[in-house]
Amino acid sequence: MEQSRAEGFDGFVAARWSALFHLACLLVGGDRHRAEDLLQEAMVKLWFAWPRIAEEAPEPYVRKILARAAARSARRRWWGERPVEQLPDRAEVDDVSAAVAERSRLEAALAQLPPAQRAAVVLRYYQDLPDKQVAEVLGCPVGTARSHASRGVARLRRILGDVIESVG
Amino acid sequence: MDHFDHFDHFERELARMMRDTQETTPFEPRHRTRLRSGVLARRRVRTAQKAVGSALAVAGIGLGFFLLPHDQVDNRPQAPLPVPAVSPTLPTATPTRTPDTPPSETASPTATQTTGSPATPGSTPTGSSATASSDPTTSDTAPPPSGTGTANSSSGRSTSSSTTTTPPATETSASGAPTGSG
Repeated sequence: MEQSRAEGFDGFVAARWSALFHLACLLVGGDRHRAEDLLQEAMVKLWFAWPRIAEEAPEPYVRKILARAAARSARRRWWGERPVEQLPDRAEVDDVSAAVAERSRLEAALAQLPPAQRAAVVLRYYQDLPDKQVAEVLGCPVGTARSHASRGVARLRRILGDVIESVG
Repeated sequence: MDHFDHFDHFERELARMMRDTQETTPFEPRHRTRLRSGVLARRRVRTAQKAVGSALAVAGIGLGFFLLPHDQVDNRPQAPLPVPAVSPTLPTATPTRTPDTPPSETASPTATQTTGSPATPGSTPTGSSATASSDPTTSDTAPPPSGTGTANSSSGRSTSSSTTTTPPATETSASGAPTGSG
């Protein structure tokens, strides 16, 4: 019983670790250590909920834990994140590849958003969730989730406007 | 997706950037080790929380059982209280039931049981009052007949002591006073 539970859990974690880690990175604004801590906490919670979650939908369960923990992080202030006017570390296109530079820009821009807005934007545009599901994951009204997403996108539009226009 | 069609150029590029920037991060042995240690730590915390919760529950139940009987004893009505409330009705109830002769027959055994010595007729009024106070369950029925029974049986002597209780007794007392004086 315990052996089959561990095997199923290990299989899920090994298969979905990379995607969930990227989601956690986006939710915390690119901080790898913080993203790993967040994902570890979510996986520990998933282990205890695995007997009743395994047959249904473990990934939405982890996604909800990640998003709510990331959105709550404004109250906890674990790593003292502060929004700044200038991006802290701009990637040099000459030194690194274009994909890494683009990821760095995106994560630096996401880091400037408040946690709730960042979580709503990531769920809306990376997870392709409609407003109703975004609100359900974040545990807030639909109007609040829609407001978070629209404000976050408006701020990202100001930060990444020149980059995206040049790409498009 | 339906909502994806409503995205403008910036929103579509933002979604593409979020997907394309995903890098492959394998689940390494250090992740597994850390995950197991996290599970063990959380299991210990949950066990401790359960133990503390059980101890608090047992303590709360014990405290409740300790305090509950005291409250019941304090709220319990005392036994002698209803008896004085009934005994003052004894003189007022006697005139209404004086025409009923059968209760006098039923009440006379109780009077004899409580007094124990039927030889002295003068002691029967006190004996009847004693039975009314000592028997709270039959205080509604037993005391008035016993009082009337003794009043009817020994009207000549009891009227002198209880002139204000019974209207028939007032008539006998009015007739008895001249006999006593003359």
